[in-house]
Amino acid sequence: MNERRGPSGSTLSSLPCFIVDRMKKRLLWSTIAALSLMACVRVVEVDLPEEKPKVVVVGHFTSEEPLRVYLSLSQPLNATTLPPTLSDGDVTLAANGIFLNRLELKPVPDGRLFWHSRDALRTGVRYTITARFPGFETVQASDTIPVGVSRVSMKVKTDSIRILEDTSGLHVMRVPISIRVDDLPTANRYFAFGLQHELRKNESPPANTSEFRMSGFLANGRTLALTYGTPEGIYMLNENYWNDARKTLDIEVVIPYRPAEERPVRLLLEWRTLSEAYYRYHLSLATQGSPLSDPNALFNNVQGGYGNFSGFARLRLSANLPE
Amino acid sequence: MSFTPAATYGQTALQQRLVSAQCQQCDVRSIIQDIAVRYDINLSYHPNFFAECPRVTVNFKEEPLKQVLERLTSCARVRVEWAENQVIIRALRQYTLSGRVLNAETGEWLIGATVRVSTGSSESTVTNEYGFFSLRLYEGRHRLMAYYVGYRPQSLTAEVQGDLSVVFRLEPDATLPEVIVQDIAAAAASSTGYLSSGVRFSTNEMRRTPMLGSEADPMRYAALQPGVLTGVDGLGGLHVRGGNADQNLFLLDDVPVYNPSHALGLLSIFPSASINRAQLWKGDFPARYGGRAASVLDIRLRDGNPYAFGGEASAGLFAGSVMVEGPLFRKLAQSTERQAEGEKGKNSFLISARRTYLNPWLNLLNNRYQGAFFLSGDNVHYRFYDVTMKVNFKPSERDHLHLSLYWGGDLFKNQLNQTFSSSAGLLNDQYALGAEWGNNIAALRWNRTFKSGIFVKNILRYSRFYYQSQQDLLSELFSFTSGKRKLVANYAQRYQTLIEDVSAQTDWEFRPFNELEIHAGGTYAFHTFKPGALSVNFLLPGQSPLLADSLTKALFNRERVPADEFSLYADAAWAMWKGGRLEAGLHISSFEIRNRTFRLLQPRLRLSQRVLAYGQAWAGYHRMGQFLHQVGTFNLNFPFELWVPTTPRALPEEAWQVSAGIGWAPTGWTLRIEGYHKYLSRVLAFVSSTTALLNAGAEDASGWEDRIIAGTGWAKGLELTVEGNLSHTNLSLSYTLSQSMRQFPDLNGGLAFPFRFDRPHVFNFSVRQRLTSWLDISALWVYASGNPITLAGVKFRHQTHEETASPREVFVYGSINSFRLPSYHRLDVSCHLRFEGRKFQHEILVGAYNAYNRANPFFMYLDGSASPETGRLTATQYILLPFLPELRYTFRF
Repeated sequence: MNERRGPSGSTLSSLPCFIVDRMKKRLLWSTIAALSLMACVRVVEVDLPEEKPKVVVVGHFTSEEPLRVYLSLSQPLNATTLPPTLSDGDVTLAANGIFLNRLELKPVPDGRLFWHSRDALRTGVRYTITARFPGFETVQASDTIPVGVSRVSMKVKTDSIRILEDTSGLHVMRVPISIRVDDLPTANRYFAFGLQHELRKNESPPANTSEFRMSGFLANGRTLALTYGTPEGIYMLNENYWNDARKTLDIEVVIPYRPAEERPVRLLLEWRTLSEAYYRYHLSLATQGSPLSDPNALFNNVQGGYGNFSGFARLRLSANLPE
Repeated sequence: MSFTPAATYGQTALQQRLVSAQCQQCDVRSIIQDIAVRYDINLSYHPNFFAECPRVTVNFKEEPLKQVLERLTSCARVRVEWAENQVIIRALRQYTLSGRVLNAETGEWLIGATVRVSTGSSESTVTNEYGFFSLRLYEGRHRLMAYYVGYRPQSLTAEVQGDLSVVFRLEPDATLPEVIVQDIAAAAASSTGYLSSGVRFSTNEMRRTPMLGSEADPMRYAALQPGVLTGVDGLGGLHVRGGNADQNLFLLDDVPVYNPSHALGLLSIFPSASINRAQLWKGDFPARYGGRAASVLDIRLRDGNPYAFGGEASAGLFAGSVMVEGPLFRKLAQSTERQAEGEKGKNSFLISARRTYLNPWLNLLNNRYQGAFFLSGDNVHYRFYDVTMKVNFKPSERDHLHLSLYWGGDLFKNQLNQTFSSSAGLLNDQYALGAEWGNNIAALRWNRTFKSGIFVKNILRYSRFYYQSQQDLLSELFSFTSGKRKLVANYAQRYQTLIEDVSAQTDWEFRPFNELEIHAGGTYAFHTFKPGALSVNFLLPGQSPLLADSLTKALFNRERVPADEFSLYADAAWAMWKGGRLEAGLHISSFEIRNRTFRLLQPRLRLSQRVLAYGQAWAGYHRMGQFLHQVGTFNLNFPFELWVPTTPRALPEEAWQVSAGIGWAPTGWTLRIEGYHKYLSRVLAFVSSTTALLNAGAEDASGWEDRIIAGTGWAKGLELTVEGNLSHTNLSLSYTLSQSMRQFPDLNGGLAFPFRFDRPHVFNFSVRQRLTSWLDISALWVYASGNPITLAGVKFRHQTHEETASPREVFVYGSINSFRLPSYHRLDVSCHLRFEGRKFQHEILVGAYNAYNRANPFFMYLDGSASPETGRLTATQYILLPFLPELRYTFRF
């Protein structure tokens, strides 16, 4: 239960976090068992109320892009195969209650199949998706792309950049940055951020070939505790992060690279303003990681089915890194 | 009305003058006045003296005046003084008779003993937690009786001509029935019964109830009371009438204890050999108690025997203990001297120590449950220990100094060497985990009894709870291809948290008159919180220490939060009308932290009325609150969960409770039914983060204020208790029907859900049979509905089109705590054998915990696997305590 994938925890670089996760479960149970002196385990068969498969809608959408949504079926917990991709149904999108598009099942560049809208979506419009598949209950979900914050700045503290080196030749550039949100709203402070860095390949002759990689980061304990990894590779901030009239997020971006082959040249920040449905859904997912902590009920805004259909606004910033 | 003048004037003294008077249904004052006029007697008195005297019919024929006046004035609180040719009738003066009730053998004071005036009036009272009592009595000779369950009553005659102090020494009587947990009859008989709503239990009662490890444990005993819930086998702390585990105030000799249990809640830290009495209030506690919102478990340590050296040594299967007590600074006193000397100079000490020897058992389990928790190569070591010391010094008859010390803790170590095979080679992990936690407690108390009967208690207190752990991992890969060993990871974490209090308290107890007893006092506490400091160290192969240092600096939480807490309280128990009593109090407290002040106003009210011959009915309203909160990943009252203060973002927890009940206590039986409704207007929960780091179960507390969420809760229930104390048999049956809910805007979609420790039905039945003077058998059967649990019903795949996204399985948790674990039940049995030699006493206890080996799961874990045979979903149940044999030998001298 509670298999956790994705980048959560990768804030502390990938290998140690794998170790942390392994240690977490192993040592957690070991501690509780041993301290409880006599614990033992027994595997039993359980009868949970059986439920017919329901249509699952998963889609996060933003402005100036068409909707791409994943439609599948829910499965019993002991299912070992991937859920089937739903293809022979009628999926429509309405804008502010008026029919907009009939969605088409098409592959995205990496070959995975998603239902696409023809039109790009817009901020402030309430979109409603309705999916009808024979044999299953019709599902419907609605959400809006929120108006995103616009006065966001990223300051790289170039004086404090450090480069650490290990004996295998791997360098780690540690880049302290400060992200400031000047137009922080008084309520609904639902934000997430993603970090990438651009590595320029050392080529001769120079060809300006670059590779973009996701960046990890370090932060103080409070920031780490109020940050949740998401399957989208971005980090969501708990709304309480902004208590105390705080307007900045201070982190230290960790960029590993091999100087013989590449060098970091640019840091890219994606700042997302999330709808409440987006935020609540991922917040409820964040409590599914610990075996003994009470998981929260899954936030579900899909009527008749499961999943999450939610919008977000996106702002992209970049900063050059010193040579 | 007619009078016959038949006076004879002679030389006899005035007292012997013969007078006559006849009257039917006359006022006493008129008769006296008439005699004075007719016989020309100079008689002075105040008419109001006889205001409460009923009309009387008299027929005196030439009887001595003294005899006549004594009979006429017997209805009033007056005395007759004789002077030459003059009679003066004066009002009786009231004086305070105070004292203590002690165990004659050990000198231990008896808490809750009844002291009754058996002549003249029917005044009575019960002793407080120091065996102290006081009564307001009119001058004159009074016969007093002191009673205590399991002791022979003692009477004494006191000539009250001023404030007076007496001491009762009751002889224990093993032939009497001993278990009366709720002495309703005594409380009803007492005009201002001090012990109103609390449930008292003694060490003897606890010792005779089968318990885990054959330890007489006040926390496990408290968990058998109706309305008190706990997790499986005690794991998860006590939950009183729907309250959280951190809402219980555990007091050891007046000092708050932050972690009252060893082994994550399986056993309490309170060593039975040192305990005098324990008392549990389930929310309806008097105003002198404060600081917690659900209950009070007030545990009193014994003082030690001031008359003779003694002690006991006890060894069970898992733990052993020793206790030594005796007089201090003086030679052994002879019993005859005791009476003559009074209590002055009776100094005593008591030292007890306990520790476990669990390693053989852990090794056994390690072999048996290989693959479950303890893997091949595990080296597990666990122990707990506690040491208790108490010194008593009586510099004067009215002053008493006590020094109480406790220190104890738990120590856990686990070293694991684990090897995995992979295509790259053999991966060898060396884990090392260590955790240590414990309490340090000290109290210096000065009790003074003023001549007026005022009892004053002044205490300086210190309480500290700490938890610290460390874990290390050294991971190496032995490559198949190169044959070389390569360092994969070297990882270390350190964690610590603590709460420390220094406090002072003064408590004044006095009775302006017998019908009214007042407590008033105040407390100041200086708290220091260190909510959780984590340091982390990663050292990858060849990694610069710079990185590790920096990371350690980034994650080390050096937060240390001071806070001041003040409280003032007053409570009164007033017998306002016949058979009725009003208990009312107010507790005012304030909490200062970071230049912010929070205040709580907590009124407490309880009315009780004697009904029928042996019955009592009561109803109450109590409001409680607290400034301290324990929060953690599990919310299971584990030691690594953090004690944190109230702050602007973690406001004080508050609760109110209304309760009403009726009790009936005919000879040998007690029946009690009580209903309650409790509302928790602010209850807190901690939102865990999967990104936050864990160390031996403890979660980094950084940002704790912003991870606390507030909600509400409510609980209602009906509690039934039946107890029988027959000649050789003690029966106890309790049943609780209850519901406990929580509601948080941020959880469960804002909908209410059952509290994690909600058990609708709880049934406890215990029986003890005395077969011979040296042999008892006991049995305890416990049944409870299963704890609610949150399980996922189905799952789905979360997948989005973004390039950086990776799919994940999402488990659909429909509603929090919507499933229930199987019902909990178990049978414990024990057999006590006692042998008494000339100098020594021996006791052997043989028994079994969970005698029919019921597999009671404390947690169920669904990992999505299915039975290969049936294809049905399987769950892993974690079972805590299977059948456990119990054997304990105790040796007393």
